[in-house]
Amino acid sequence: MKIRIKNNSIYISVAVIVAFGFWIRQIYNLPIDSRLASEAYNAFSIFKTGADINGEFLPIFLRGHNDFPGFLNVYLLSPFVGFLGLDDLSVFLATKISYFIFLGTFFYYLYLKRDLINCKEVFENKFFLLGLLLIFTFSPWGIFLSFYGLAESLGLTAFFCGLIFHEKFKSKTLLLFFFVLSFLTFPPLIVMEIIAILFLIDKGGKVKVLVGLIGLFLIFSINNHFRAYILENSFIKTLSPQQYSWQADRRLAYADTLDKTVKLGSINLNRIAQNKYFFAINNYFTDFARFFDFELISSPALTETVIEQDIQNYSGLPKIFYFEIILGFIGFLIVWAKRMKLGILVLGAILTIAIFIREVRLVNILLPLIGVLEAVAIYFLLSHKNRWLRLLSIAGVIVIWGLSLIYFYSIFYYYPEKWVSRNDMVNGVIWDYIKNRGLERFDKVLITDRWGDYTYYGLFYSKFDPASYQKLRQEAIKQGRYDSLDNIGKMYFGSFKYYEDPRAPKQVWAGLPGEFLGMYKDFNQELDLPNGLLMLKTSDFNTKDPYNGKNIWIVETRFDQEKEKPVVEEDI
Amino acid sequence: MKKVYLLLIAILIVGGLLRFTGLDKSPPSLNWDEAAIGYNGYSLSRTLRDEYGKFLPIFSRSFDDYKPALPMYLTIPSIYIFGLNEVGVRMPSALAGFLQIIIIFIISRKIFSSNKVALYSALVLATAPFSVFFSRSMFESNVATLFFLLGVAFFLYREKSWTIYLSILFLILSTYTYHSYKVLVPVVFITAFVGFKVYKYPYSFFKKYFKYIFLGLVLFVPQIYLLFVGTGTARFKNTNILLHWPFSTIGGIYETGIRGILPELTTYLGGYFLIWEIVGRYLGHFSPVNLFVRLSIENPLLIPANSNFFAFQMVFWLIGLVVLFLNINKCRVFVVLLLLSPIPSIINWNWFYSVRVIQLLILHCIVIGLGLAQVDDYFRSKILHIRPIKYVKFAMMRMFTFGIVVIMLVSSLYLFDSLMVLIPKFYSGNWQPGFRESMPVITEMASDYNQIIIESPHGQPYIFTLFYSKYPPEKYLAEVDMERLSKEPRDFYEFGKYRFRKIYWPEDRWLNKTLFMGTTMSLPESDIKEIKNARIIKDIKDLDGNTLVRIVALD
Repeated sequence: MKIRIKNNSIYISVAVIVAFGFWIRQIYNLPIDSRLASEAYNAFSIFKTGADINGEFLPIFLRGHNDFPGFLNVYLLSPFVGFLGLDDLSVFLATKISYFIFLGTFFYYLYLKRDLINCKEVFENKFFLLGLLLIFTFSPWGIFLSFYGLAESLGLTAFFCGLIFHEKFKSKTLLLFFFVLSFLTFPPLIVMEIIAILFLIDKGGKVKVLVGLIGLFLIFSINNHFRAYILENSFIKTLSPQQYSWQADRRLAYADTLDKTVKLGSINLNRIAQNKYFFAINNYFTDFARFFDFELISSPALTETVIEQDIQNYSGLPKIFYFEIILGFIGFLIVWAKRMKLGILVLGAILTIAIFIREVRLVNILLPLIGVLEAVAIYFLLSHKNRWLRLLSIAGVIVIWGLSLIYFYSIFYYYPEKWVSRNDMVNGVIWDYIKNRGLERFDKVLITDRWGDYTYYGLFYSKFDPASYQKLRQEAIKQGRYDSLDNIGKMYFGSFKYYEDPRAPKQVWAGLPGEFLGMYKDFNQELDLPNGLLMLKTSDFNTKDPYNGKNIWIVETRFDQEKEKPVVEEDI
Repeated sequence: MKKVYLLLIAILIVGGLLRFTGLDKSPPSLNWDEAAIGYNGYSLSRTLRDEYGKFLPIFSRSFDDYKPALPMYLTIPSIYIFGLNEVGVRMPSALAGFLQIIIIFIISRKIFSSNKVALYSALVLATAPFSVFFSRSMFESNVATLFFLLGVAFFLYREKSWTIYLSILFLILSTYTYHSYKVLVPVVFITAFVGFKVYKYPYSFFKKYFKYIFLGLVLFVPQIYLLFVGTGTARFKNTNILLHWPFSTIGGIYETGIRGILPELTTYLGGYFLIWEIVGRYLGHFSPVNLFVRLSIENPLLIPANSNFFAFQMVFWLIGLVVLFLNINKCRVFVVLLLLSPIPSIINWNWFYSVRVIQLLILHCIVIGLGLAQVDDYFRSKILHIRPIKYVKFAMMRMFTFGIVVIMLVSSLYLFDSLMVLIPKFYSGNWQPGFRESMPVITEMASDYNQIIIESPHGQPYIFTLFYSKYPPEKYLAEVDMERLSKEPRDFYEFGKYRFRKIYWPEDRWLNKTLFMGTTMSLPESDIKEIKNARIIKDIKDLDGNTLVRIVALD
């Protein structure tokens, strides 16, 4: 019996259900990253006290320690962490739902503005839509955004909502309202908004809207935190002297030691080294080029041999598959050649990068666009008049994509330690242990400061009372300190020397083996920790600095003769 | 003279200055490959034999990597003119780098029918860090690239039959100059046959082009022979991608145990990972970060503070790439060359190894040139519509060109600074320093001693000894034990009075009439002072004042 499915929505519904199953599966296993911890704790603080961690009442743009958690994302997180509790599950639930909403608005906008691609039939083709949905749900970057891209998802959602409301109801007020929400959540989107107003919306009243948007942006720039974000993440910072003058100084310092060789005939090479503009321009373009590092985002594990240096701080999960780069480029050429308006969004994204060059999260804005370009490329390949090319494309897409997905999901589900950021993993393990043992049984918790923004992890996992933390922060801010605090309640963060630091009962220490025994020791031998019991040690990880050991130890102090000695080894 | 040629001459002057100035100063000394090429060239000029006594070889065994001998022959005239020194050895490569600028001008002008694209491409190549660097050292690949480009240029001007002969000749010559071209040139020929749809009318094609095919085959036959003998593939055996087999990107799978059906499946996907590795390498050759940002991780290829191109050129490269693919019908030959060029490199274990793909980097210069010309045209077309005063308009239209030229020249100054200051000062260790300064001292004293013991932290000290002592090749061939030398891998380096081994002073101190060349670790000053007949002849120091080499005489 031949089954015919007439309604496209059934295809899409099935795909969404399957995809949601994939998304939701890992929700219990992954640790949050420091940015989400910051957003979640600020949301928790707002829910409990109405003020953020710095004690500002209902702020319009948040500032954390040295980070900027944003706006909409924090407020959206508030009810989740408030009602469901401050834990991984509630945060990830919010990020998943945000990504889901983003997909809905993005797809609806694409459907609504079918003229973005000059060929209308593309967006009315069910295979194209289904393929696009599959790319968005199963692609590594989709998974990544759905876990860790809360601000980006919500910023883009607000951006597309603005465009949809303008398209459907011709409402400029709603357009401006959503655009403001969008740039408050993820400020770089202001560039995309300006581009959208210039090229994507209908002609009537364009100038008014543009002036209104820029005016509102300038008004919000009066806010210190918002302005600080702009200055910190835009090209202004890249071109500022403190970013490059050290290079010129270093070069001149070289010259001081060998004044003979720097002179070549009548040319004094020292003189040109003092020209700092060169370093500024070079810095700018170097930062710019890094956004196009598709090797790192497509196959970080493979490129380890060539980019050993970069790989240290980079999680190993590919965000796109290598063949998607080729498809994306083909898609871009098709979009360009056919003068599709979609190209404006792509150029807008590139321009956004050019301006907010220090915002590393911007690569997440590019990824959905690459997805659309891919879908365009696949559609055109599949509908090509050459039968062999069509067949080859279908076979290629099925085989290569299938194999890539097997590889990807095997890492994603079974080897999170291969791709989750090591800082997140380490802090997750430490705090899991402390929570399981019960934080209340310890008088002092000492955690090494070598693993990322330790304070946020501490605040998040310990659910520290926001009102008390606000007081601590306000005291610090009075002294001009916006950075992380090293002492919060019973929690202490910093490197330590267990073997010579004062110890007392009911303490738990977490750090590298070298911090317990001293550097350059054989950490695999029988241990004799003074007044302490090694309760947990993680498996080894790769490090360039192995002198302090290659794993994490958690030690509880013992001053009586207790004999419980459960050294647990845990994978990391 | 036409303006375009005047501009080309100006570009050539800049390119020439960057390539020829201070050739003996930077890189600060020869590396072992350069020393091998130079000394074998010297040997061939004096005896018609290489260091292994092989008569007029096509490949010279060298360090068991079977170097193509053509670069050695090419050094003969320059060694004759400049002597057996850095300039003599490096001059063919510098000249090749210089001539590449002219060839790239010719090629890009022919393909894009635009003087502007040609001039911009030539300017980009003239100042490109990779090209300047490879030209200042004797890289066989740089010379081979010149032959390859000449082959391409003659092919583009194939209206007359003699140009096709020359094209084939130069393309085949490139295969005798560097290993990569042994892969690339056949791939290019095969692609050309497919492109010209030879399979549709093979008989008439072969009849028409028989003389060219015959010439190509005759010239290429020795390569095929050497391929079967093994000397032609010796290098590939040590560098091919399969050295990494079996592939798996999930490390530690066996340690941690199988955690589900998917990981088990992935263990059987070695072939898939191989494809991934190869495609990843291929794409790596078009990665902006590799081309414009990342410094080489290979020490001998490191240009301090510089990548292969200047970072700002990335924008024009992206534009050029889009323009190129959108006009693919007008420049198919170029696009095909661009896409084929990474092939020799992707079957090697290195992820991105610029020296193997100089031809690709040069093609990228054309892409950047294309992007620059495109932006220039766009800029001028916008200015064209406004009507200010005549001279203001004239100046405005040239503003972009002027700006780009200034930025490039300033960037080249920094490149020059990097070459002349940073490499000698901070990276001289990459260039096996110490032999140039120490060998004249040793050579002068050699006649008074029975043996000379050399210990070096660097590889292949024997070739530096031969080179810097200008050891007469006929004497070397007569003294060296050829029978022991014939064993592979080579484990025997002694000749004449020279011995190459570790110095162990507690034992070696009892030797008589011996000269030592070693490090301060093996020849400590305090120990030498204890021996009456021992004296330190000279300490060779680097620019920081650290002792590189100590020469000690034991009378």
